[in-house]
Amino acid sequence: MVGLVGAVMIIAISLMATVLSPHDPIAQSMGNRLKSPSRTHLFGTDDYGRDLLSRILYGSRLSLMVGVLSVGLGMAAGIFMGVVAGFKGGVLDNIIMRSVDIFMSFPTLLLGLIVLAVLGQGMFKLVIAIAIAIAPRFARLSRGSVISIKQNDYVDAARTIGMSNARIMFGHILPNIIGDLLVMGTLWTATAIRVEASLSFIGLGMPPPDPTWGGIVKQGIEFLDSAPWISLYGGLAIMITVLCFNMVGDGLRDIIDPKLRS
Amino acid sequence: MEKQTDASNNRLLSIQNLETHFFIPEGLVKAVDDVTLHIDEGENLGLVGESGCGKSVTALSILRLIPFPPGRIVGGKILFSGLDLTRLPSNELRKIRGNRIAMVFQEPMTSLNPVYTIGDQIAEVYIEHNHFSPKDAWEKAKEMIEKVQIPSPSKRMGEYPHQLSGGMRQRAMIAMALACNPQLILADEPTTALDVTIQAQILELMEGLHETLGTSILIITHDLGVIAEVADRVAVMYAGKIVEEAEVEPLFNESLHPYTIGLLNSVPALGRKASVGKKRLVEIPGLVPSLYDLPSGCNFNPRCSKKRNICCEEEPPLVELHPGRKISCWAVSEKWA
Amino acid sequence: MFTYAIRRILIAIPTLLAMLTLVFLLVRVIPSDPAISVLGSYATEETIKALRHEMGLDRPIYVQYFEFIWNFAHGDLGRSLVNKLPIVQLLSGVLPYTLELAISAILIGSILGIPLGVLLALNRNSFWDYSGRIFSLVGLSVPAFVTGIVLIILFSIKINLLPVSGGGDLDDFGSRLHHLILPAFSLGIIMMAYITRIARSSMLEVLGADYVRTATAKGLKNRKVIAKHALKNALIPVVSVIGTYSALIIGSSVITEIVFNRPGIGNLIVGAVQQRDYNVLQSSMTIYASFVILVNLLTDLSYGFLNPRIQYD
Repeated sequence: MVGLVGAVMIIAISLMATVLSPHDPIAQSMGNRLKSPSRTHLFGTDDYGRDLLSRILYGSRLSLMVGVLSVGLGMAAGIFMGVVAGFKGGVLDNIIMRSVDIFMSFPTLLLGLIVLAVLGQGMFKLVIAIAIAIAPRFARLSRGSVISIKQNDYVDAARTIGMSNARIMFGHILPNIIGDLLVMGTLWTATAIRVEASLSFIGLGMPPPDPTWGGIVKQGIEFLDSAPWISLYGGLAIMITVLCFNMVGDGLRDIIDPKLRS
Repeated sequence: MEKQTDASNNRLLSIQNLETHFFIPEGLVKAVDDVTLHIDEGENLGLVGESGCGKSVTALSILRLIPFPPGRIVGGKILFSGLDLTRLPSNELRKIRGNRIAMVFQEPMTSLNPVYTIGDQIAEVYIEHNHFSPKDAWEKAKEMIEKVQIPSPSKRMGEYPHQLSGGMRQRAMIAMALACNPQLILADEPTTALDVTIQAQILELMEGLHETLGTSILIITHDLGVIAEVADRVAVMYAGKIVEEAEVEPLFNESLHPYTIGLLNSVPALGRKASVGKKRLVEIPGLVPSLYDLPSGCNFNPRCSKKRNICCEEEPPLVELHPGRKISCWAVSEKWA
Repeated sequence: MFTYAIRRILIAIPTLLAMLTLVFLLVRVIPSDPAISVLGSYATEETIKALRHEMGLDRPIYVQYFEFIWNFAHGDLGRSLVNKLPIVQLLSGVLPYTLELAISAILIGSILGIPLGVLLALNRNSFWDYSGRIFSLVGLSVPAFVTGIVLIILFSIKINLLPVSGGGDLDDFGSRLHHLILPAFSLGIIMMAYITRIARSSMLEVLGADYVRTATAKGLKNRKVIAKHALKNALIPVVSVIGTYSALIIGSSVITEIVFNRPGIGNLIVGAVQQRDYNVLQSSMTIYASFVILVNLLTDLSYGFLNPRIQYD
């Protein structure tokens, strides 16, 4: 509700970032350093004289893209693995699910960190790093669904009339889990955005001078006493975005769960 | 709290025009709609009807256990030995609960706390109402467990609900209810969740305790066999209202309300006392109405074989044909007028 | 209960092994070479080879793997590839700081979160309930560095009460405590947000349970119904979830250490990443992973302790 409006607004703003930005986000202006918020610079300027508002707007594009793409990738990979594991069963199932368990017991951030350490920096690497943390959850979800469907008699019935396994599986699994997918997808988008911000904060996100929300906050740390707006506005952007997605996810869950229970 | 003095003074429990309503998104549900009942000392009253007719809600209303939201008692009185339970302050009501009026619930597995021992859950009733020390309470609890015929009482006292069988759990619930020797027990479908053979045992137990201790029982059930076994008098409920009330034998042998007749005809076999059901099975046509979408006039009229014009227009009042025999039906009260 | 405990402990061991393997493999996939990282890009090929040989990096990978596991089992974590110091020494220097941060954050989150969640459930739909729920949502939406920064601004800059950075003297309890408060709370608030939510929903569910109705029907005082009958049952799911969220907190502690410039394993890891120091990276990750496994094990055990169905089966 509120979250939905917020999330939609944020997405819209981000898509129009290039249009909305009053200034070039990477244009430095040493004469303008660390200016507090004013009419020309609504959010103030940073240590290099760059307009903070523009940087935040551009940063939104990265954060949202990474958020959505990593969830998409993680979902796809996870569902694929889960379906394979559930369908084939046996040793393959065991291997896949044990690996899933292992990956899931790593804190998301640490997993992302180590993967980025391996892969290096860059947007797609960022997406992959976060997707790796997300995929196991969706693997579990889809495998569970496959297993419960496999037990149903109508699977055998469908087979006797010659339906291919794949069709059976996908025809029945997706409708079953679509509710959970929506909820989990939204909530994990929120988490992905937050993790991206954290990784950028550590320095493993996009390299400078590309603006990233985490990077903005990191830069601002040195100036917490003189120019707190840098870190604060950056932090606020992250928080509000993640919050909106979380609210949407929560709201979805409230709608979908009671329906399932009754 | 002044005692109410009227004709119902010597009655143990007198429910008068009780209205318990539920406020849900779909509408207003009158789960209990103008219900009047009474129980005298030493007698067992059966309250029978299908699921959703309001019998459980009636019992829960007596002890004010209706969850709010969404439900509350909106009208009527419940007099217990002269005290109006609907108006009693909470701390006074608390002293009556579990002590002078006790309740036995339908599902012993979920109605017992899974993380405390049986002994603990029975003993705490003694501790609360009789102020026994924990040690004495434990001893009394053990005696109670013996009384309800649970074997190896000492061992069972220290066990958790999930370690007991269904029948034993229900006996434990009964022990909990009887602990402080209440005057009235409200038994809400006490045997429905149990196997048939266990059902018989539990009913025997309850009857036996009724005889030795003199406790009155309000026995709520949809099972006519249970009624035949335990009850002295019966009230039949449909869609929140009482439709017929009589002593147990006349009700079975000579039922008057079309609904009661339909109920009896649709039961294939009964308990050992009554002998009804020799005719073939006949089901009552139609479905129980949803309580927020009731028909106008008599609630039963869409399914009734004896329907007249007035049945669709006005609700029939509960009329006492002769002492102890009540009926809420235009067709019947016309005939007897 | 005993079998349950043994089973849980036994499962932890292969899990640990698998984690070690994972860490080992991940680290080995790093494309760039630690030798080059140490020597600089102008080093000659011979010197690189020599250093690699010295680092043991030219041996077959399974040899390296077995050596790694073997050493780990003996408490030998090898030496930093960059500065040759024994890793055990590096870690023990900073471990206390990380431990105290993680543990106090977990404790703050649980000890404050559980009562808050319970209170919100008891006062459902009141103004406090709505505020509490919003606070929770915000708390779990916010990255650890934002809470850290906000707290710094409030308590170090506006009011010069608590230090901005550092961990305090290893031997001075007061100084360590002084430096611990802000970081611990910045993480603790996040943990609290999660725990409050779970505690609230768990308590709400329990309050609607049949056995709570039975307790009321027995005439027990309301306080007793809640404190005795409801609470214990409500706590069970909460405890089992503390382990999960603790893992999250442990992961986020890396960030908090950076924000507050605290000595700790987190900072060690970040440095190791930048310098491609396999060994330090590997060992630090392992320590983190072990900590997570340990916390999960403890959580499982206390769950078994609280829930009689596990005890007596």
